Amino acid sequence: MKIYRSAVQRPITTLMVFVALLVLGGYSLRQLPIDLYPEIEPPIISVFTVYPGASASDIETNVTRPLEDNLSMITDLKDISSVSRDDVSTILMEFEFETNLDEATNEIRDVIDRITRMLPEDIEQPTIFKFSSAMIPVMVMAATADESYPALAKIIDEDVVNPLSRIEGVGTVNIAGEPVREVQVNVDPEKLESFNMTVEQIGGALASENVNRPAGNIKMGQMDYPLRFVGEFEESRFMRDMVVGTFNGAPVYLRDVAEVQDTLREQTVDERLNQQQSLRLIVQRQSGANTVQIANEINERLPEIQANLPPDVELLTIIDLSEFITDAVDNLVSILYFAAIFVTIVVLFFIGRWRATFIIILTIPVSLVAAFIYLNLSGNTLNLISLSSLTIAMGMVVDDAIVVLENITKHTERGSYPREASIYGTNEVGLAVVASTLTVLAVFLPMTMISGLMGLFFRQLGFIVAITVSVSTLAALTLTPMLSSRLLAPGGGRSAGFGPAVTKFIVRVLEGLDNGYERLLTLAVRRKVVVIVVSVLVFAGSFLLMPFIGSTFMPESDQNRLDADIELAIGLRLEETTKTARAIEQILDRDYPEVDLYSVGAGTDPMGGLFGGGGGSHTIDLTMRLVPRGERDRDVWQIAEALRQDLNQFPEIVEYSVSADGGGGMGMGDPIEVEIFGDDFDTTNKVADELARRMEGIEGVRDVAVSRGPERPELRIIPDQGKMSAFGLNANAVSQAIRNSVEGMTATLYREDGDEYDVVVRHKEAFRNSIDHVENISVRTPMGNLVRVREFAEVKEFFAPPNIERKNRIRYLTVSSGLHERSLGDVTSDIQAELNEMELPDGIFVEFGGQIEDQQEAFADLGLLLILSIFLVYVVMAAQFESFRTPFIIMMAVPFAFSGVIIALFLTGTELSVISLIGGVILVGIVVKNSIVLVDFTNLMVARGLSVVQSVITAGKSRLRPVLMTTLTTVLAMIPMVLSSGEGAEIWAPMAIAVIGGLTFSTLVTLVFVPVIYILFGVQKVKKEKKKIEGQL
Amino acid sequence: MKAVFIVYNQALTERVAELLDRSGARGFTQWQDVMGRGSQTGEPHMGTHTWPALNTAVLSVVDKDIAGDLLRGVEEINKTAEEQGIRAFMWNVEASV
Repeated sequence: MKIYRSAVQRPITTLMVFVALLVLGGYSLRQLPIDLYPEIEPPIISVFTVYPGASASDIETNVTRPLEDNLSMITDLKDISSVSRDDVSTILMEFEFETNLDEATNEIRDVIDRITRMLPEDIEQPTIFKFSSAMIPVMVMAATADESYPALAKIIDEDVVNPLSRIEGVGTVNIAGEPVREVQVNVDPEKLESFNMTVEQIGGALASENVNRPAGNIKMGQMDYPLRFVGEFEESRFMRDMVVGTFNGAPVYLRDVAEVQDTLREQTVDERLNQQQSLRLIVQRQSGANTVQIANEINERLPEIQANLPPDVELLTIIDLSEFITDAVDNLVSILYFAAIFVTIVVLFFIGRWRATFIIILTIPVSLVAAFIYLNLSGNTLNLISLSSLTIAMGMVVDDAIVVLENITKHTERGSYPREASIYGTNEVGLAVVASTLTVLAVFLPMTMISGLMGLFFRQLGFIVAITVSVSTLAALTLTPMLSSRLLAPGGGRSAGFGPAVTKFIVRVLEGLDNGYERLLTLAVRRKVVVIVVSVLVFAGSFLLMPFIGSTFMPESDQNRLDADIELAIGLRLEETTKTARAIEQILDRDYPEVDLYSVGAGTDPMGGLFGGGGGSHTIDLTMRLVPRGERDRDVWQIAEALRQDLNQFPEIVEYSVSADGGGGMGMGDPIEVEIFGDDFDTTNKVADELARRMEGIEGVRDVAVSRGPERPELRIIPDQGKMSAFGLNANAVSQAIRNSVEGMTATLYREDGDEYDVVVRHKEAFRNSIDHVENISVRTPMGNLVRVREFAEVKEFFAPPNIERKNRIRYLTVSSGLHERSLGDVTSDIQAELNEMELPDGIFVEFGGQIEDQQEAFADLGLLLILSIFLVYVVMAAQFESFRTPFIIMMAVPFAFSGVIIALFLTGTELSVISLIGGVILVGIVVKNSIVLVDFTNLMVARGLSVVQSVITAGKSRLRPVLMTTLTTVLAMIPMVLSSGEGAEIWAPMAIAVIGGLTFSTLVTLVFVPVIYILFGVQKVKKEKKKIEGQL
Repeated sequence: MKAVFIVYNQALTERVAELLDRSGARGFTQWQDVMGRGSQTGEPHMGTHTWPALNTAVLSVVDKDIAGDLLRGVEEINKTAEEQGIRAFMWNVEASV
């Protein structure tokens, strides 16, 4: 028994099936977490190896190269790059997307185990570190305080970090820029020397004084007492009265040689929020946890947490990743509603009856919820990709129902009962409906098979559209006839519910359209050559616009956030850096009303150290949160540009970069990265500097940076081996002594209320600020004398060799830059031109990395996908029509879709990006569908005995409305996407622009061009058949 | 006794069944999914992609009065649903067992 017959005969069953679907879908929707993109795990694993004391080039030769040589054999490895700097080797391994990283990690561990023997003995065990999207902070908060500032770290740790860590899904909460309490014993080296003592002695004395120790048990009477010696300092000020040694028989107290200060550690970073001293709280999620859920939970708890804090401590959110996500998703959801309304209006306009419109529109929720069920079952999220997929699907899911309902109506108009008409009307078009769904599947199913980064995007799109369209076909074959059999009134005609005037007007418009089109078609059929020439010219002409369309990887979006990294003269001390930071704060306050919150960090963030980032006391890191997009005139890029102008005014700023990408999801590199490969440092440096200079001259290029930084000044203490041995000293003892004097020696831990604080002994600040002071440090010889460093060594200023970067086992460096108001593609070709002008020395070659590389890979993937889709669509149609010719005629619509995309991108000034290309691929499926409707019906007319020309005109007139209707539903469903200016609109608008442009243009051309082509091929066919017959005679 | 052969677009099945009941024609034989086309106008009903419609045929052997009702009924249906296609033919039944 046919499915539609059962559906009509068992209406309750049918209804229940779809009600169940709706309920399950609604349930799934509730369960679906929200995110910006589908979960993307960066396929990157790095290996850190510490080799204390080794210089960058030692590290490169002895650690990095052997490791690289062996690690490069790992399966699925795409790129291996490394940075060798003083003490540390960092190897970054990039794998193909969707590589099993656990297996890769095991393999890496095996390799490391195998070759550790070949590495220098003094290295620390290499650590393997897997990058994860969970490392992107979900929230960054700042805590400011006035009088509580010294105790802020403790307060925050207990009253904020602890409760936050208890929230489910919160991974780690780190504090950056926190003031750390420390007991400082600042020694006066001159006094120390006069007492013939050293820093080590002081440290040793402190350590041996500050002791608690169990001393056994004492049995007294019936009891057994544990015995404890309690010598630890009760208060830090007691230390100063401690005896640290004797001189000439008299005791030397600590206060005689040093000052004891219970204070805050000298900071390597200066954190301020809106000009108030602050510390930063960085919340990371657990892998797999949902950003929005966590952020919501945190925001819910914050008032309570704030209430428990001292009144002068204030918590402020600098970055809340979930804000942009929620806004963008909400925005897209409202777009979805608008799309549904537009589709309804179109259907109502063409069908003209409430009940019929209702039946058709009902397929929208029914099919869309199927997507929610899929998303829930496959563990996906409601994100920009899945929601825009739904918007695309929205216009397509009504198509089948429209075709079915139209045919049913034809039967009722001819006098059948709705019940019969439903069964037989569906029967007649059932096959055609399934066939057109198959062509759509031929476009969307291959998308699910793409691998790599693009695959993560396309998989959801492919599955969602395939599933919703399949379900919509099912609904069109069951729900639509069932409802028609119940709801439709016998007979036909438009309902008069709108008032006769309106109805009359619409009918006049539609009939006018039909007749106008008929006249146009008749004309076109007579002037076939003109039509073809004009079409070909339009097609070719549209491609001439190509050079005017810029290309990029991903559209940028205004995420209300701006980051800037600023570098001052290398080696500048923190105090100086801070001055510049203050000046920048003034400017932000004065000239940037759009900036809602800003946090300025001078110096190295201790957290940054893990990633081996460049930082140092000369860097400033600026994070700005802007007021929402609607409340400001300048967009984030204009603000960034203004900030660049302001930063140019500071002569002390050596280099800066201002970026507006927000780091919300993709973790993309710099837009432009030119990689210069070559072994010789000097030559590659020259090439890089030359290129950087030329790039700065290119329009639209901003923030040019060379990765191999300028050489860093450093002071080296170079001992004279002979003299050193004459004193009986060895390098170890000497270096330790110097380190203790300058960096300080953590002698012991001071305990208070269960917390421990370092007790650090070192020279007073005043005695460690010149080369002279270093040379005056005294070291004790084994004979017991004190010797000054200058007696056996000299201190010289050197420039340390740069970091050594390698990629795929060749030394390289990158020249990177950002962009402003120019497309990636244009700038890339300009750079290429500059490169061609430059004469590259032998042995040096240049490659493009960063987003250019990603873009090229993605475009290649998409190109392949496009070809595959076109081929599959042809295959499906050839099988369907049992003909090579018909699918060819039908697919004549496709090239014009591309023309339409180009024209639309050109007119709107949109760049060609991965997103707009996705639109192009989708178009193949949608455009072909229209053409099928037209050509299939023409075939039918020919089979029914009409002449080819008559068939073309009759079919055209009869199919105009369905074609316009399906086109308009799809186009109008996407218009809200283009018009929206809300959060995230920049991301998906290019796709909608591409689809709207391509579909509109190709529909208009198809309606004239395809019939003409049909006639040409038809005539050909008639002639052939004639010849055949003549041949037989 | 008359034999009445009604052949019609299957989209009219219910109306014909109703007609049979109304006229009191109890006995009948029905063929589903049969093909055919009209002599003058009328689209072919072939169940193909080109001509998707199909017919149903009913042969009912009834008394003369009932046969008359049936023919009138068919005429009525044909008036309201001319494009769907319905025809009835009647002939004498020589004998039956």
